[in-house]
Amino acid sequence: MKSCSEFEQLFEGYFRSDLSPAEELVLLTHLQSCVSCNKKIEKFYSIHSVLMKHKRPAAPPDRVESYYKQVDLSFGRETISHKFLLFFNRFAGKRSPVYRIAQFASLVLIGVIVGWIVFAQVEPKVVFQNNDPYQMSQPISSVDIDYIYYYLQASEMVLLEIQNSTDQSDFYLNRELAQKLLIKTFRVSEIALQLNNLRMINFLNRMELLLHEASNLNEEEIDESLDTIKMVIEEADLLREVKNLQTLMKRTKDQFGT
Amino acid sequence: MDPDRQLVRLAKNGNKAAFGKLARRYRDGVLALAYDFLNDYENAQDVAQNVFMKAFKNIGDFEEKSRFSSWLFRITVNASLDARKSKIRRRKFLIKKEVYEKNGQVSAQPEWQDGIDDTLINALNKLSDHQQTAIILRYFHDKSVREIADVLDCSESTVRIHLHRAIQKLDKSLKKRK
Repeated sequence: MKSCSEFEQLFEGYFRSDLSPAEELVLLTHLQSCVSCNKKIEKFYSIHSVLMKHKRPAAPPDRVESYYKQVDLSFGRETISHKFLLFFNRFAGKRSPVYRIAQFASLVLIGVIVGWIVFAQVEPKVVFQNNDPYQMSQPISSVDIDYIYYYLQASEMVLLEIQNSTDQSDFYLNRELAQKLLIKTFRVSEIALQLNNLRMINFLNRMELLLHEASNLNEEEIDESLDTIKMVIEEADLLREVKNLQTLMKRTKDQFGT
Repeated sequence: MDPDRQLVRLAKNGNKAAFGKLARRYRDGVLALAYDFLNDYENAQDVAQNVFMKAFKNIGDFEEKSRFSSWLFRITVNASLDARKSKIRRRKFLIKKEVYEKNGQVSAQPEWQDGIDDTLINALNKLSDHQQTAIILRYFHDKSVREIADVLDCSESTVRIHLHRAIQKLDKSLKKRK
């Protein structure tokens, strides 16, 4: 239970409506039953009114002017550069949200750049692009150009060897070369399929069949098969096609190659 | 949040322009507060100017636990009370000197009051420093109990006690006058 003195301390807050609802309720309940506090609150209110009515006399204008001048003299008059400086510091100062967002963004950017340098694979340089179905229709790298060019040269050599071979002993050497070239054919076919180069794909299909046949010949049937292979080379005109493709790749290699 | 926080941080780093902006923001309040204690604009102006110089010099010590305005008003209150005490001491010395030299009577009315014969002001001057500060800030500067507690560096309940006792004393003083 509060004493009257404690309730009196709430008067000032009550006059200004500064009390919490609970404090106000307790005070009003007490005032209903306490005659002494009722008298005191009236006295206090009269003092409160006197204080509220008090008005300080206005400062003499010349004194105010000299005071303002003195303050400006001590800390500098507010100039446009000051305003700009304060504006900049407010929005880009070290503690401002803008500065923090920029700091975070720059950290993310640095992370992305470092990640790209560490993890990104270096793509071969794209040097050629053409929409002609008989030309390269997809970008091709200089590495692939070299690979195809040397494949075509080796193909020509094998085709000439097969065509010029006359007996079984000659062909033993060519068969080894055919086996090696067959392996390379798969890689070149992949590139040709990626490029969607129909002319190259046709040539490689024939080469694959031919090399497959040449790699798996039995000694008993070698003479007969060798004639068939020679006939295929002639009919498909593979030697001329390999020359044409070589010319095309050489031109590409000269233009874009390493 | 303290609306002056950004400017205070800049001023702490020695930015005079930022403190200048704060000074312009509070110069009227500081002058008025000094006047309420001294009842003399000439002295109030001197005190107010010194308050800003002192505040700029010591802003590094401001811990930002309260509002900048509360901290500035605390400096103003202390400076005003000091100025008033030194003025009273000087006045007492002058009266004694005058009495000694002229062997005559002097007016009981202090000269520094600039002739303001206000019963309320006289009654206020009889309050203790804390009571007077609480009344001036509460009634003449419309500060909340929380802000007064920051200026006086005490609790809100202590401020309420100061206000209550001040009103009691004012009631007695004003009754006597009547």
